[in-house]
Amino acid sequence: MINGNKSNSVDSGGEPASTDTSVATQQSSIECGDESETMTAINADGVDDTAGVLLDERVQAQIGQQLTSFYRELVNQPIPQNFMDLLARLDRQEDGK
Amino acid sequence: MIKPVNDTFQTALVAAIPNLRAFAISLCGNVQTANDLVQETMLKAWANRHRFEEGSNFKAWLFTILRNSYFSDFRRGKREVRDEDGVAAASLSSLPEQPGHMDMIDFQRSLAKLSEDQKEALILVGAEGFSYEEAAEICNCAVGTIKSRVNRARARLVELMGVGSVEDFGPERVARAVHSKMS
Repeated sequence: MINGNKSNSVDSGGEPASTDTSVATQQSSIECGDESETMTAINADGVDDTAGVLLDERVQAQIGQQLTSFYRELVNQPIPQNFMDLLARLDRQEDGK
Repeated sequence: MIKPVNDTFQTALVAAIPNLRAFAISLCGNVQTANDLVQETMLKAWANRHRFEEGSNFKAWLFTILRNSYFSDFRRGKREVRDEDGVAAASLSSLPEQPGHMDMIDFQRSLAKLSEDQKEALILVGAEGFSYEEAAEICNCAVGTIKSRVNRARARLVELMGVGSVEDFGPERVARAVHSKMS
């Protein structure tokens, strides 16, 4: 836990040293893999410190969910008309042979 | 005489277009380039339709053509118009506002920062639902390689979407992201 008191100094954005520390800590927690907690050492006004501590599994689940909804949105986009024109052209080529 | 076969082929090709586009947009991060890539894939698939082995996985075959085109012609070539945060994000932005929409754009930005190898593996397995074995065949690499790429992609996304994003977005944005993760 490196959040807490220290993080109060981050909100002005003027403390690059703290930011570096928090990033380094995040990376080491990822390497631990199975360790249950991933820390979020960033704080800002109005966010409770306890919100900074997330379960790694929960983050993974969230990312999995965002990945699928991101991809689903792309899959559900309408097919551009020129794709269908291209197919029709292929078809005609075939007929012309 | 071979017309019915072609009709079947074409029907299957049309059915695969939405997924090919989603994969292409995920890879390129640019809708226009992705559309070009999919059209080229369709042309190549059509030209090589006699080489498709009946009974094998048609979608995997198409994805293989697409990713090979991407890595040979599109990624390094002059056709590349890389704009990681711009065009594709804009296409998402143009969709009606909906809950979680900003999360989607944040997600796309993070995805764009993954290496090509990791991004490709993650999309094929995590989003498109190919097995590790199918993904390995599509990418022409070992199954273990795909597994480690997917794992590294996930770890990197955690990093990018968690604490790492402070570099890009500043404390306020992170506070919001943390909030949304907690809600």
